[in-house]
Amino acid sequence: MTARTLPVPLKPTAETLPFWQACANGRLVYQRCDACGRAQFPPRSRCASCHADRLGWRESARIGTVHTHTTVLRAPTAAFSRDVPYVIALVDLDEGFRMMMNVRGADPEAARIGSRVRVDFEPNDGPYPLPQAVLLGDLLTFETFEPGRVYGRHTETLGEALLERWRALYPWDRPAPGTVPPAVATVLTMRAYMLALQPRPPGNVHAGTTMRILAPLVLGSRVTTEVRCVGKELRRDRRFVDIASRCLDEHGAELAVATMRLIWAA
Amino acid sequence: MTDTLRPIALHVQRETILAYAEITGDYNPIHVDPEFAAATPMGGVIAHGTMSLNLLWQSIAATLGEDALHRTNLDIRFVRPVRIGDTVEAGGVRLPERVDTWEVWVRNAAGEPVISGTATLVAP
Repeated sequence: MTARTLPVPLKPTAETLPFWQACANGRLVYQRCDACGRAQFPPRSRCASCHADRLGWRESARIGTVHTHTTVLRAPTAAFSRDVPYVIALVDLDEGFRMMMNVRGADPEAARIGSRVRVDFEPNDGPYPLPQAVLLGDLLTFETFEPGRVYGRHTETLGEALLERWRALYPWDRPAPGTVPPAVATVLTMRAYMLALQPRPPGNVHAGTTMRILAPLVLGSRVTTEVRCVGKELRRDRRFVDIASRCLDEHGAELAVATMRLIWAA
Repeated sequence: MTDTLRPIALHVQRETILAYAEITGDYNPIHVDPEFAAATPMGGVIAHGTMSLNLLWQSIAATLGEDALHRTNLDIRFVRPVRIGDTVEAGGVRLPERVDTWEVWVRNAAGEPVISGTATLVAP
């Protein structure tokens, strides 16, 4: 996405500052109510559903579905005149909150109700890039899988937030100082898989895994996970797809490797 | 040297599955949408397979230590779904005929395996 001379977001408020700071780091965050569990956007000081003030920030996987969309043919102000026609969409993120965004990418007018999109960040003249939707294209089916192809690489920092959520699930899993628990490698693998292989048909089933965790996962380090299709096989009317992943440290050394066998739903 | 892996158990509630969906970004409706899941061959919501797989890694680390974990090749199948309300427990036993190989499992409260496979220690 190229820089644009569009109006930039207003000065963040106390409620929205964490959201914009996350945008600047390429992360999409939202609030979840600790009392009723409801996700909400835009950020507020209270839960719009139950009015509790116990709201926590969570990170979104940046994948969602177009709820509705419209194409703007006539610019509302001169600032947008270079842009028309452009597409605006309401996007329901998988975590359960809704955002309004532009649809960008090669063919925004291909957007339909139900289209799957990924949220990317578009730079502008201000300090905070804007989250915008990109269409994910045709459904990834058994027929279209290309064994040998790398479908994506996902880089993330092993931060305290990740560790905190792990502890909430597995409070007994205490890592060595300065590290995150080894099994977090499965989470890194699954997250990279979710982002790389999109859009997937609903209802895929994980049949089995071979896995090795080769080295400690250092707290605060950056890990890049590569996702590759390594095989597909039709057997007893089931569509088996083999997906291999490699988690690599900043120097490219392998931290964990896995091969997942999935039964693909379409 | 011990011949059994230290058991590690997890009680699975709907909130557990939602928290796991959040940490992995895996919102497959078979895990989070009761209506969708009811219409699939699974017949209802199932937990993410790797949520139970993680217990096995924890059990290996707790019993054999992290150095051995880094030399372990885990090869498992997800053989039975994990449902809301299940308590699952990871464990394993060293194979008498092959000292470097463990039969490993995660079982539900009825004692049925939900994960079964092997863990093999390879040379450093």
